[in-house]
This record gives sequence, structure tokens and C-alpha cells, in this order.
Amino acid sequence: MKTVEVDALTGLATYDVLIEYLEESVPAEVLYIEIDEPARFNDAFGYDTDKRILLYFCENISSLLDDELFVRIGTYSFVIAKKNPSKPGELKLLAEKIINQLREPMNFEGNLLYMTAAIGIASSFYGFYSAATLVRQAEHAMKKAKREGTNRIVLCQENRGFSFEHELKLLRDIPRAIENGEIYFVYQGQYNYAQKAFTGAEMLARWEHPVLGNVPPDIFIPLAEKSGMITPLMNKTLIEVSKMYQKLDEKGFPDFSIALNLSFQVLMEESFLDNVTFLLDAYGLRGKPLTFEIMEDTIPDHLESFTTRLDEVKALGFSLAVDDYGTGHTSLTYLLHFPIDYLKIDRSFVHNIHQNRRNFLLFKSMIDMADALDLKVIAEGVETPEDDAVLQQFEGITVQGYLYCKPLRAEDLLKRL
Amino acid sequence: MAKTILIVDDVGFNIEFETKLIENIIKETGIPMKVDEAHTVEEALKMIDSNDVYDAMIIDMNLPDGSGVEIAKYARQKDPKTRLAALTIYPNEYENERSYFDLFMKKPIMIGPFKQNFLRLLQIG
Repeated sequence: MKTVEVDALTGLATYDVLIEYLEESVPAEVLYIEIDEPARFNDAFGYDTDKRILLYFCENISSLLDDELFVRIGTYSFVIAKKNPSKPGELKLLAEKIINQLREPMNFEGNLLYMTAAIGIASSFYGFYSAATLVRQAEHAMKKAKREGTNRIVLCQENRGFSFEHELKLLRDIPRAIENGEIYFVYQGQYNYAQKAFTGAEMLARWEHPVLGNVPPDIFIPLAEKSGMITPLMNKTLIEVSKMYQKLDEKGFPDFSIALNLSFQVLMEESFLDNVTFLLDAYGLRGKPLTFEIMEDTIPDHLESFTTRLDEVKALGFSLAVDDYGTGHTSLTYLLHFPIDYLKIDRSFVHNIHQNRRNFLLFKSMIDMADALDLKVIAEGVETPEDDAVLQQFEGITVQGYLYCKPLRAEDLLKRL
Repeated sequence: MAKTILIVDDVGFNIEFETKLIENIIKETGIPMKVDEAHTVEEALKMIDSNDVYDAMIIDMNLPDGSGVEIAKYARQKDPKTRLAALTIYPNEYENERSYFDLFMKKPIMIGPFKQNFLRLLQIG
């Protein structure tokens, strides 16, 4: 696949360039900025006002930069990456300059406009992350900033306690952890409002390391991908699922669906179909209600082989879900072309939906769209009775979150059914 | 005559996985095979004593009551023609024991490589 290196509108570098840049430069820091809907000015000032605002904004930002890489990453979002910062949080100064500049009204063709934005910063000082993880962390911090108000800056200072040396150790230990059950599985029940029952569960991998303790999946899954251990991990997951189905059958829940996260890397592997076909037949998984979840932000742009592969997976009898829907940049047309069954709406839209009108409207529009496309909806991150009460007006949907069920070992979930 | 295989592993998950892969190979190649299993060094030595010579063995190196090397030495004594594979997470740790085995297979088991290695072990194809 040929990568697009320059954004057509702004002339800035694109995501692929950013990842390459970050992979070569540890430590590094990433500033993620999203401008709040410049399109709202289009009605007043002409249909392409947002584009002109973006260009103006890019020019202003560029004047503040030194040797940082400036990248357009989404319609209204940008990333500034810095190699070898001298201390964590170095980009915060730049973030403050940007916010100060935004506070001044913009003289836009004789009109004074006020723009607002949210900024998130992530730094590899707090642990050695893959380039993509670092960008995701900055994006999460940006979303947090957005929830806190306008023109906010949030630093992702989550220190997971995993140094570079730790990660090397984890990398070495992954094969053993898959073998000896240090990596194990839990299930988070999914509750359907209409049926007033748990109708399925998402299966999640956990790693209890004997020395380092609990290692979060967003740390060890990328390491498994890097070390070629993601396929054996998926094999083990599917075998584990087959045991769960036996138990579900015994308890009289043959229709209970189980969803697994599928890494894009595994999905596109040449041996993927052979492996899965073998496991389906050898472990009696044919015809079981199994769903593969694919994270929205790993879905590529226009990739024919990806769509073909999804069709092949569907032909094996799996359902497909888009995970964390709303956080990536999935164009709506993809939803028409990809053979998807479920949309899992990201927790950021569900959080505080009872107070946040904007979240409510976005959520509602996603439900309308899903209805129109005949997709089933699962809302993630349902954690409070207040949010739950609002969600219940969408009768057909399924919800997942700590309010209903935290991730449980297989036997504990079975007791809850 | 059916090929006879002994799998030695203390983890039930692995024995089941290997057995299913071998069943799959039987289906694909049409070659009849009989699979026995043992879970410890002691059990493995008993199986070697009480059965005809195995055509091949897949031996986990790290067993609760000893090392797979003991089994390999014992099997070689009984018949040098038995084909022996070591199964281990860390093949590099067994540089000095290489000579006891015909090949090393890596854990966690990968479907494609396991099938290829197994055919090599049986000298098929």
C-alpha cells in the first residue's frame, strides 16, 4: 500500500510520517490538538470557511514551532511531535502559547472570530510506548481536556511504572505467560435492555506478571504484536472460548454471544484463515455466536484486501463489530461497505450523557444511523445509574460497563446469568 | 502400519492441542497414526518400556519431575531410530542438549510451523 505523506489541504505531513518519526525518536513527546468545529462558521461566512480557518490556524501554529514535526491527523485534529525533549512536559509551554493565541480573536477576512480547541500531551518519559500508543494517549488526554471545558490542556501523566527495561522483560516473558496461564481471560457481560438479560460478553485478556504485577492490555498487546506472539495468543483465546461455550451449553445458554478483540495485524496475516478454520473445526466452534471486534482506529482507509478478509471471516460464521466507535476516523461510507453487524459506541459518548447534551445528541445520531444501516448497537462504559437511565430510552440497545457487570472469571460470569 | 507417536507434556492444554493438530495431519495426509500421552518423566519412561518402539516423540523439556533430556536419552538407548523432538519456549537454553534430539520445536505452539515440523520429524513430504 502506498502511503500518503502530505495532506492535500494543508501541505502538512500525515499520520504515517508521524509514526515513522516517532519510531525513530525515543524519548519523544506528542501534543494532540483538536479545534472545535470550525464548520460552524460555514453558514455565516461561506461553505469552505472551515478550510480557510484551518489554513490560518496552521500558519499561526507553524510560526510557534522550532524543529517539531507538525502533522494533520484528522479533519480538525493535528499532532505536534518533539524528539528528545529535555524533560517531560516540555510541550506544555508550546500548548500554553497555542491556547493564548486562540484566546485572541482571529481576524478572518475582516471579521473577528473566536476559535477554541482542546490539547492533550503524552510523553514517552512515563514508560516506553509504541508510537501508535503514544499518539493514542495524547488523543485520550485531548478528549479529557475537551470534557473539562474549552481551551484546556491535559497532560497524560499516567505513570504505569513500566520502564524500557520492564518492557524488554515483558517482551521476553510473553511466550511463557501465554503458556503457563499468567495471561488469562475475563468476561464482561453485555446487558440487553429489551430482553432484560445478559445476552453476551466481551472476552478480555489479563496478565498477572509474577514480578511486575498486573500488566494492562494496552501495554502487552502491542508487545505481543511486536514479538510475533499475537497469533498464539489468539489461538489460545479461541480454544478458551470453546471451553466457555461447552459450559454455556451445559447451563442452557446456547445463544449467548462472545466477542473477542481481533488485532488488525492478526486479521491480515496470510495464515489467519487456515488457523481459524482449523480451530473452528477442531474445537467445535462452528456455528457458535462469536463476534470479532476490530478497533475503529485500526481500520485502514480504502483497503480492498481488508474488505475481502472481512467477507471471508463472515463466511466462516463470525459476526463483526467496530470497537470504540466514534474515536477513530471511520468514514460513514465504510460502514456501508464493510460487512459489520455491531457498532460499539465508545465510552466517551456515554460518559455523563445525562448532563452532556452534546454527548446525548451525538449518541442519538449514531443510534439513528445504526438503525438505518441495520446495525446492532452496544454502548460501552455504562457506569452510573444516571447515564443508564438516559440510555434506557434506546430500547433495542445492549450496554456494557461496570454498572451492570465488571470483567469476571468464566465461572463467576456463569453464576450471574 | 500406523505410526506411533508419544507426546510428553504436563500441560493438558498442550497435549490436547498437539493431538488435534496431529489428527488434522492424519486427515490431510491419510497416514494412520496412533498417539499416546505421558505427563511426567516417570510416566514417559514407563510408556517407552511397555510399548513397542515409538516412531516419534514430542517431548516438553520442562517437566515436573525432571528434564525432557532424560526421556530422550532413554528412548535413544532403546532404539536409536526413534525420531525425537524437543518442545520448549527457549530453544537457545538447550544448546548442549541439541545432539539428543532430531529437532527443536518452539512453544507456544503455532499451527503452521507445528504441522511442518511434525512432518519433518516423521520424515514425510
